[in-house]
Amino acid sequence: MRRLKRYRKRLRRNRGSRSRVTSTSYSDGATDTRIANITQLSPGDTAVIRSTAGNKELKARLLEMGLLPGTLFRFIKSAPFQGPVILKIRDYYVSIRWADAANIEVEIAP
Amino acid sequence: MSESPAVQKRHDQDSRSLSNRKGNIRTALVGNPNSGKTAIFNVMTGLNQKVSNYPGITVEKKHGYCSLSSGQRIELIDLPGTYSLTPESFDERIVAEQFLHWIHGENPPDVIISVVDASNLNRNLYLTSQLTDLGIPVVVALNMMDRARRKDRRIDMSELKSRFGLAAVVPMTATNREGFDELKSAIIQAGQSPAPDSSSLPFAIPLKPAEQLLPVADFFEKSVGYSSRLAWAQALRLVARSSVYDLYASSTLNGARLNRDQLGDLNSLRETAIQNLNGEDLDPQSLEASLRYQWVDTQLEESRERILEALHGTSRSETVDNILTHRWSGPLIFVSLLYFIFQSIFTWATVPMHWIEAGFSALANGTLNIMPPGMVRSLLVEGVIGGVGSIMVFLPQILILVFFLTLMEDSGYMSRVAFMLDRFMTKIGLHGKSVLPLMSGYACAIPAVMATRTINSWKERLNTILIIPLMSCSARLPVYALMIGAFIPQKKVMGIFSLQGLTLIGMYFLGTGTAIIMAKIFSKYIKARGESSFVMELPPYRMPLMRSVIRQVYIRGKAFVTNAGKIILAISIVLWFLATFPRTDPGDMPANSNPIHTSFAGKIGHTIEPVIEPLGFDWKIGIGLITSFAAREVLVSTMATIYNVQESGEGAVNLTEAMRNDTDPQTGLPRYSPLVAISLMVFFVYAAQCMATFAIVKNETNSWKWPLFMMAYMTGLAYVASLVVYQGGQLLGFG
Repeated sequence: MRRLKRYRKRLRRNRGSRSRVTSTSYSDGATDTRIANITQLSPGDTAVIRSTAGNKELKARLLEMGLLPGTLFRFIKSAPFQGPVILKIRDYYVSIRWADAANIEVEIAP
Repeated sequence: MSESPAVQKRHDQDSRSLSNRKGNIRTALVGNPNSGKTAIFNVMTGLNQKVSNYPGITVEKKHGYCSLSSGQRIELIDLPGTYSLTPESFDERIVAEQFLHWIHGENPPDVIISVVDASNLNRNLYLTSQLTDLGIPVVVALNMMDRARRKDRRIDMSELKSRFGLAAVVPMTATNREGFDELKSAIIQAGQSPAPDSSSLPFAIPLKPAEQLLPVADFFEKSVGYSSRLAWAQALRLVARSSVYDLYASSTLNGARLNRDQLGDLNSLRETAIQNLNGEDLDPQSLEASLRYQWVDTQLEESRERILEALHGTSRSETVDNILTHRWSGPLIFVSLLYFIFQSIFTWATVPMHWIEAGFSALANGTLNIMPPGMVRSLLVEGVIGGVGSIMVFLPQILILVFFLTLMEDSGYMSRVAFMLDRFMTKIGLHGKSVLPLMSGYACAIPAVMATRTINSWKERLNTILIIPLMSCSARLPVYALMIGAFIPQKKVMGIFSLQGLTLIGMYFLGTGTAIIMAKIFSKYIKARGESSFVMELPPYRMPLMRSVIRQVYIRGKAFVTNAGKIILAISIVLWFLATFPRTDPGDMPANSNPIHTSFAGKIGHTIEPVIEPLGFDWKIGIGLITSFAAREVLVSTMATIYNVQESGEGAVNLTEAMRNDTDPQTGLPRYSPLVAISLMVFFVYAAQCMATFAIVKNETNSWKWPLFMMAYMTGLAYVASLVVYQGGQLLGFG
């Protein structure tokens, strides 16, 4: 019973986060860019970092490692059960904890 | 704010000049984690520091020298890897602290060698550009050229040199020993060349943030005496992370540069600047990073096409990762790998172990034949050869264990394990980066405790330190191996698994499992300082260099042998005296008794026997428990020495046989049963018996509280667990 409750909760959470993926059309109307956080990407997606929120130390660390707004990266994969994600950025692979990655807002390249 | 002449003076006094240093060129190796600083350091100095393929393997400062044909010497300092000069974890703090000392004129190097991974330029050059702010010539060692070439990445060396204001750029591949002569001559030349331009930062700070930073930069320039460029750079860093201010604060406490008033001024300037920046909607944390990265990116002139191409190129590592870090096959491979390692410790080591055993036995018998009977012969055979020999037998097993751990690290696999286990680790109050320290805890707790420095959150670091000693280290292996070899039958379970191997793995599991439970418990009580996060670079997989793997195995093996040579030899000799004296004339003894009971050692053992009797231990093991506090493996040599003295004069005793055949004189039953063996092994899984570990924990946690706590909880666990095993086992009718 408890497990079912937990499952429902997770389902709801997932649905909630999905709905945050919004579509925005730019003035030229030609490109359609999706805004999401990193954990919502699928393997193989290329995206551009928009902003980093949350924990100050984490933000500083990400910046130093070159995860700046405007930087392109490719989403490789995530470990099961909301484990860390792997990105390829600036010629290297970096692994970021799920909760930390959820703070990074990105724009999916069309 | 007045000008501080004292600071200014010291700054001038220590300023860089070659003439007053007897021809020595002082250099420091600085670079990103895993860029190959230590590999360069080792080749240059001929020293054997540990290199690996895991970010952050160097966690302390190391010194070395390199003699040149001209008679000059290059002094090298190898610093831990860092991504920037604004520290987060403890190992990065070491670098930032070192920099502050240099800035303040304390032994600054003549040349900074910035080690750059050529296959990953932008991120590495970010740190390099920070280094050029210091006003010390910077030589870039453009390492891992082989990888850059493979990626078909062309780099214009002279452009790089002029754009970044470097003294030289030396392409090299440290692992192939390529480019070292060029590096040396570049260092010599740089030692004589002028310092980089220090008038202004290479990039412009936009007007708005510059206005807010001006008071801070002014303070650094006028009151502390920095160059204009350094003053602005430090101002940017000061508002980015509080750790930068902490460094200034602690360097004041250590009796150096800024006095209390200045520090107070600095703090209020910093707070005002941060407030104003935030008010202008400018983010103080990202200011330096975004400006500098933008500048670096512009200098490198990379097209979007090249960036996209690089992102989409599937590297070999990524292909390998499709299997090794796959959601299901990844963990499965990891567990099978661990099983394979522990099984091979038992199977592969058997043959060399027999050789060593035979060697020492021949040595003992030879000594018996050559020397006349007497005190000296007895000391040599029973104390020295018996004690040391009993330990040396386990050398092959330790070497095999270290060999596998080194392979896992050097290939780049260990950081993938951190990735796979971070989720689980956070659940039990640890960190993905706890995996490497915990795994190296299987070899030895001391380097393992030091390796926790890369964990950036204090709570998780302390928690990791506290449970590391529960990971069965290689010093316990001799104890397990002796007890298993003597008392666990050589049977097969389910046709394929050997019972002895399973028992060994069981002991490792028991320690590791308890570590997990304890971590969960401790995490509820340790207070957090700051938030935890996990960001870790995954280095490319690399074929481990056999040279460096063998070197690592050699270093551990040597440490084990020297340890045996020193501590174990000393204890064996002391123990021999204690077990031999005072001598009782055998005629005065009741029948069936041995003079060893009335010796000092015998008396000590019999005194503590009541305490350990409920665990199934007798007075001999009691002595072993006391002596093994110096180092766990001493238990084995202690038992060997005691049996040798007891059976005095009848040649070297085979310890396994002796323990098996030991009978209680009163009852005539065997003294030790498999149950006692298991109880003793369980005791060793938990017991806190290593002085060196406590010393290092005291050092790393900077207090007596944690090492004492560790000792208390481990001893408690050991006693209770052994009690349960032995008493429970007896109730169930075993033993």
